[in-house]
Amino acid sequence: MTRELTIGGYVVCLAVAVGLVVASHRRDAPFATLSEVLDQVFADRAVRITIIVFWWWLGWHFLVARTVDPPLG
Amino acid sequence: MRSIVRALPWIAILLIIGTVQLIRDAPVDSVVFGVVALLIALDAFGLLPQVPPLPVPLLALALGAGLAAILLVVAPRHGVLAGIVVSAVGIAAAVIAWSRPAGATARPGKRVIRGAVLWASVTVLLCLWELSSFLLGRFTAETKIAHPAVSDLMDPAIDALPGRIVFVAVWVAAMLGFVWVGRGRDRRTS
Repeated sequence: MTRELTIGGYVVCLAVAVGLVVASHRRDAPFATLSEVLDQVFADRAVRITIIVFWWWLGWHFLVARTVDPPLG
Repeated sequence: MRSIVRALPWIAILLIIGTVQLIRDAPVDSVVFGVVALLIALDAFGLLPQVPPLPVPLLALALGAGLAAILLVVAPRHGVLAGIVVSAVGIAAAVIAWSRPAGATARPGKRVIRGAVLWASVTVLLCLWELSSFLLGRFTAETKIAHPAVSDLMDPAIDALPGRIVFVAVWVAAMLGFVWVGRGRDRRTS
């Protein structure tokens, strides 16, 4: 049950993200699309370097380094 | 002073991520985030030399991204070749992104602010959920099954070829987008 709840949390986040993408592309959307937001915030070097480094780390984590951590006990 | 205030939240985010890497016993990952946080802090204080904008032809970027994607799909996971390609992509993206000239600083409109708040909320929610699962699940094999991290759930999928193709395609395409995003506006406003 706990496992299903945990996975459910991820699914909710994913569903909300997909919903935001769809809703933001409507003609009368009250909020900007993700690309419009990134276009604005990437004007700041600290923001774009932070996001790019985090995104790079996802590739490093899943393709190169240890992906699954062993349990302590 | 304004650049320091604007950089502070991002330095804090990098340091928090670096600390989580220490907790999960990944010191190299931690050092990467720490070094980037230090570079951003030095840059905010104006202590780093200004670098001229690099010419970035889209065709060369796209060809490089395509080659990287093919290599990452065929290279064995966790192997030397994958390490070299991912490192090369990261260094290239970081250098290009760092050299991008400061863009227009016009105040964002309400639509953009609302969008930024919504996307930041979803991202923070996902990160907190992932962090709590990671912390609760790290003690025994049983707790790990009950509280899987995103890595635990995605690892088997990326081990299979179709999953790896999807992951690599999304990762490389988004990186290409991150490097390219805003450049059109820079040209319009410069």
